[in-house]
Amino acid sequence: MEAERWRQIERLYDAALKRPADEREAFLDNACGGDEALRRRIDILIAAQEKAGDFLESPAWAMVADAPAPDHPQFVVGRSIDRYQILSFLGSGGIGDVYLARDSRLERAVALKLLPARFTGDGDRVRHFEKEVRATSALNHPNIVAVYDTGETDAGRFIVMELVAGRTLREVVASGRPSLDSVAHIVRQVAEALTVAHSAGIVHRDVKPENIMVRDDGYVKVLDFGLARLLPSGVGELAGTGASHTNPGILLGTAHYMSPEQARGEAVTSATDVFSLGIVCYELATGEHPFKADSQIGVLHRILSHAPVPPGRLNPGVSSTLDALILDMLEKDPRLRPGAAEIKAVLAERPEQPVRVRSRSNARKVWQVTAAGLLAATLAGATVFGQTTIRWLMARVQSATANDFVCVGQNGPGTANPGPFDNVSVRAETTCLLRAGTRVQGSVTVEANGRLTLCVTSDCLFAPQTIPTEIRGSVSLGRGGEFLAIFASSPLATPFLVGGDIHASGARRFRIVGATVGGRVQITHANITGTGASPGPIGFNEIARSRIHGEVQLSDSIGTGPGDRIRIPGNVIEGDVHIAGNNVTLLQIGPNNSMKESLRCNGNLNIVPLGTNVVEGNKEGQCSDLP
Amino acid sequence: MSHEITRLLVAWSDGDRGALDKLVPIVQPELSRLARRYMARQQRGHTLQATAVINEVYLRLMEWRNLRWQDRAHFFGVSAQLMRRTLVDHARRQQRRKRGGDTIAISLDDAVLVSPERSADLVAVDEALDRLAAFDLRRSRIVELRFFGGLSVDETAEVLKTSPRTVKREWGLARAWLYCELSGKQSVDA
Repeated sequence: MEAERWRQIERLYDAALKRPADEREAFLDNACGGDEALRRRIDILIAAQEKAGDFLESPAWAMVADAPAPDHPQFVVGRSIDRYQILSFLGSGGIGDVYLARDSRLERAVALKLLPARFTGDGDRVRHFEKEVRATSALNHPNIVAVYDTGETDAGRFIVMELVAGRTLREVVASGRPSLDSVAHIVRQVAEALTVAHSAGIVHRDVKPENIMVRDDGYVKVLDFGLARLLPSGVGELAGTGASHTNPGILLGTAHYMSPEQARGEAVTSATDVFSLGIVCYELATGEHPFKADSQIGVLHRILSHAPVPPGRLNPGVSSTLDALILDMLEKDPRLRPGAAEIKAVLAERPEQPVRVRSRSNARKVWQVTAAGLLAATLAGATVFGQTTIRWLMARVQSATANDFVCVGQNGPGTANPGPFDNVSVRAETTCLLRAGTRVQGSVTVEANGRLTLCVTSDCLFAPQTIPTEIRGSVSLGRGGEFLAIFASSPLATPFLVGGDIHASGARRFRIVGATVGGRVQITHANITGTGASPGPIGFNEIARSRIHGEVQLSDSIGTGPGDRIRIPGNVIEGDVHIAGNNVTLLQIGPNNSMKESLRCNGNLNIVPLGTNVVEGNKEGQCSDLP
Repeated sequence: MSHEITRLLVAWSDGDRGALDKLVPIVQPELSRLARRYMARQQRGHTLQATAVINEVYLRLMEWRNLRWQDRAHFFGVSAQLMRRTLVDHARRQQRRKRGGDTIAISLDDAVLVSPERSADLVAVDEALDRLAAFDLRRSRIVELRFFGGLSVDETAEVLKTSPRTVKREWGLARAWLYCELSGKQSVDA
């Protein structure tokens, strides 16, 4: 078709549709001015528009999977499956339909879930699943829905469960946002269930509001432990959740409670359940999904890449403790999330108690058991670079030639050029970006109000490990400067190595994540006020998951705006740590730092020790009773 | 390999249109590899994993994409285009196999991604979309983003840097035109 003709059609088509149906005829008669062909084309298009229904309205991938017809409830109600008489249809779960049934032998009402054959075709998966069902029911915990029986008949494989009179958490939320007290009450009970399951080595894999029942008396029951195992491994690991068989395109839609590691198809651990529970908790506390987006791709994108807005900013009633707890549950790195036992312990405490004096002794006992494994994992991650790296760090080569890089524009060099550079300087008021694999023989200087971004998590995560990002000298940051170096600390990730010190005086923002630093880290007089208000991945300041060979000093920082936060979790620090005179809305130490020398904390406001830290030297001042 | 992809994505988001054409052939083998990996773990003929593969296409892309946090629009655009090529290529292969009567030796390379009935539909949409692009590139982009990419009206508007209202309006006519083309009874061109 000619473009000219098409534009004509387009114009008249739009104009005709704006008019009421009964006026279109006359309008087009007039507008087409006897051009019969034109008129006919527009008529065809308008008719098509009316007939098209939902044509192309669901995405292409919905056409891809072959959906078998769902087992229709009508065919099942009234029948008997084994010794269970099906009385009525209760609802559709993620995997399979649930019926109210009567156990004819024990004379009691039960819930029976019928699993569609497509989920039970793989013998290995079914055996795994049944093993897990048996293990879960052996736990016999009041917050876990009891499984009475499983079996198989011609109607398919089925599970018989305790009948819970109540609503799913999804239904509870739909009828209005619960009070923060009941949020804590609900989430604590889910954490109870997970604590018991996790310590028995059972991971739920599909924690979401549909799988949490709230009884009318407030008692919470977690459903469907291990059921996600029945999903084909690809989907199970990726979507991690129930597949609605009526609409295979919706598979992606269940990604809403997926953890980043599930999203990447990596191993699922108990920390996966914690992340999913973090999303549930966030939703309950704020009424909003922490990673909400228009499309499912959008949600996944956010789960993988965006730090959520602190919940306290959406609901001012959320205490700083709960705020920090939720954000930690939503850590991208599974090793930094608290265990279920710790969540339980934090939520069991009364919120009006000041954070610093609350007794954590009970929590500690339970927590340390699970923490030991977690801490070991963290340390293993931190030492992954090995001895060669450390020797290299200590060697510290000095630069001699003059291949300096000076960042002057709004966008730095980094998009293409990885160096090596002798020195890099970021001029005042300039933003500079260096890619993974950039090498700097000498030092990096960021002048006043300059900003240096070194890589971003997934960029580095994806680059081959053989190309480290290296700064052999030191990094210094001037007043108002920003230094964002966010590297993953997984063995797959690219190492980030700084041979010298990281020194910042009067910085505006800093994030040092996954770094190995040969010298000291010294951050003084940072003014981070207002940085907590910015959403996205740069919403807080931190030294995290790093291995630091020298001392760490964090002193005289100010950040009194809502959400302004400095966190120090998951580091291995060889030298002394001194934290002094900071005045920030939340200063969080932990979890899982390993400090080889002393830890001194003096004159800080709002300091919150979180989780377990190991300090081998003395603990002094405010941190003397750090758990 | 990841580095090359990263470089091309960066070049593409910096405005180098040619980078996308270089990107697709590099990513395609990666996609087949993923499909093979899934197939190896699955029982044969099970198409649920198709969705898993597609999910993974997105997730991989997302990981590469993260190097430019601030610009989701480009990411969504590339995703939709890759999705289209992946789905349609597999659909085409499926059809060739059907025509060739090859029902036994399905190589793992040609992992069953698209059921035979649907593959014809997908190929037809793809071809009609090419015809539409010849005189209305923008509407064909809208269909690519919404149908193949699964994006919402708002996200589509973000990619095309226009208003959701415009997208909605233009989507309506594009859909009507494609409906005519694909229902096979009346062509607007006739």
